[in-house]
Amino acid sequence: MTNFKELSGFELLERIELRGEGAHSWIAIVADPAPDAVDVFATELQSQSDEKTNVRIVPIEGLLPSDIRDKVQSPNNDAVILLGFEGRSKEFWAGLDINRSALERPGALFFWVSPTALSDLCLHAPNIKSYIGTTIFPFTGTKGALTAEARNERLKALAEKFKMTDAEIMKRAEEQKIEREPEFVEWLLLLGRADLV
Amino acid sequence: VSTVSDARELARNLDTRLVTLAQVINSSGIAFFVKIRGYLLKQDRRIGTKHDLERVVRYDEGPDDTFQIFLGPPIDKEQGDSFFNFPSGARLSFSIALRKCIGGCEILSYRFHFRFPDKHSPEFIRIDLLAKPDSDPLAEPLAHIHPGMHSVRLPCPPLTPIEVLDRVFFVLDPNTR
Repeated sequence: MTNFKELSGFELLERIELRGEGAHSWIAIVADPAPDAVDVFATELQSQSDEKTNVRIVPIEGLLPSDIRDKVQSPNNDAVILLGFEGRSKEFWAGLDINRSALERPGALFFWVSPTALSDLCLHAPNIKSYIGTTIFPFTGTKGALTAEARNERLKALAEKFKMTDAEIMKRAEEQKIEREPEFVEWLLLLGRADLV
Repeated sequence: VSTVSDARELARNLDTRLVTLAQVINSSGIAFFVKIRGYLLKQDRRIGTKHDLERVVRYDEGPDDTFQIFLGPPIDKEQGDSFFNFPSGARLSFSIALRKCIGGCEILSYRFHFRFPDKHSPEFIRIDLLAKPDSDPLAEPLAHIHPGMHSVRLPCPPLTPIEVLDRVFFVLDPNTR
């Protein structure tokens, strides 16, 4: 994993977009196989794609290479994320490798793989590996979480604006003596007091 | 003769109807966050600005299944690079609060503050959704617009955040009109 440049989904998609239309992209995303992560990635991909491009998640657990071909080719112009490569046999990878041409399509093809599945791909499907080339990226999740410093700045700005301390806003909320303005909701949630909203 | 009491009663009825229109978002908080950021990215490209959206759009996962999305500071006091800045000189900041529920997330509240360029009248438009109906819905409707005056709140439908952004980018932005 450390040999590859780590990119967030946002950065990764910006890079892919630089290649332009019809680039026939095959990309390996090295990530946790948890379904939440792929859903977020798919949403990010969809939200950054043009309106004509659809994003489709295709689970391939238990499918043969011919089944995968059918799913990938109908339709063939959307962006497809294949997942479920964990624990597949050497024969599966060899079969997929032989049938690689059947997977060629105008739309982008993402291989959502764990480090182990990536190793299997490289070992048993060298032609697919060559199609992917260097476009192997670890998916590091979604950047943008509020830092502790940024949280404190927001709390400070709210305290200055309303001339109250954190303790005072919580006390007033407990007594149901605050207005319902969205800033107070933000303030209480930043303090971890959703129960007072 | 319509009295303030009558007007309050009508406003209360309106809030009661509108609260049923409040939308559930069919996704997780983080998925909604990337959708909002993707929307802003597309607008950034369309109008030719170049924001560092990974830096200026933030999220915060709280305890109790809450989730917040932020653009810009909580209070719009002065120009800065943490806003979405328009070529016209206008700027946008917002905060959106969500809570996980069955099937996705409910919108708890939001605040979208659009400040027009200097010397524009009104100075700003702010679109708010409250977490709950207020006890005086005439003065503070559930969903409302501040038409450049902090003390004036005109009722509006509880738009989804994307619907609000559509009004910002395709209605309010002076370059659009």
